[in-house]
Amino acid sequence: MHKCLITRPNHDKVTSYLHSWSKEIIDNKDINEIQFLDLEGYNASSEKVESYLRKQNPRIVLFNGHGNNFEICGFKDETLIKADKNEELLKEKIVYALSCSSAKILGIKAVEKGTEAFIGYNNPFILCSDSERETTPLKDNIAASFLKPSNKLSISLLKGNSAKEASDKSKEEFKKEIMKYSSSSAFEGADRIAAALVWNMVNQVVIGNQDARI
Amino acid sequence: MEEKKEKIDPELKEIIIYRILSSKLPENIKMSIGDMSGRPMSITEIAEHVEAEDDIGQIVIEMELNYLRALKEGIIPKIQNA
Repeated sequence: MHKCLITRPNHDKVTSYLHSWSKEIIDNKDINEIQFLDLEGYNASSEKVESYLRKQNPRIVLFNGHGNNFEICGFKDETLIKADKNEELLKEKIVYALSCSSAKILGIKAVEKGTEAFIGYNNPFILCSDSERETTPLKDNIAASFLKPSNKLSISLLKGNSAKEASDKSKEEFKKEIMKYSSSSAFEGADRIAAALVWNMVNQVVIGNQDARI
Repeated sequence: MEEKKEKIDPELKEIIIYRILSSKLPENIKMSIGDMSGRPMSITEIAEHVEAEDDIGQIVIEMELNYLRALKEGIIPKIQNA
């Protein structure tokens, strides 16, 4: 049985969307032999993340939340992992950070300090959403086009695919969504959504061992 | 540590703002760029950020240029025909 640590803060609109959609990963019926350590809401704190990483030794870590080139954040944007501070906590792990720009510097430094594979984004993750669905994020079809490709990555990793395979599957999902919004039959203005999806797809990177798997 | 911002060509900026505002994206569809804006932005707000060339505007400009490159290089047609 492998362990997967997942952080799911929910203190603003974007994190509320990530919180709701990442539950789909935990509830996925096709994922077996995985024990989830779910740090939800205010539990996505640096104290708990550090403790779980040290004591539970999860093989896979899925971060959902805000971030930047140097850090990944949790509830109310508390720093969970920061470059040159505590990235060694991710040693020997496969990490996927749905967190703005964190692959750019933190991801590289984490791999230098022993993270087996770090999958993340080199620039801010853009999320389009339907303001009429803000209270029911799972019914927001626009946001689904952004978060399903991300979930595909996490689920693929948890089903035993390699880091590279999981990223490739995610990018295939992005392409399907791009096709939907860039076709001539799409609604007016849909190419703005396609532009954001292309942005997320090209900025998703795998750093470290491409063949890393559980 | 902030990265040095490059000044965008005024004509290119005009084109990007025109593309954004003329796209007629429905008002209910908003865009969030991480936590940079604090709340999801309307198409008009996005254009205002591009006009101001602030941090959000810079990302939107990069995103739009990236999309134009994808169109020019045939990446979008390739995806559509895959």
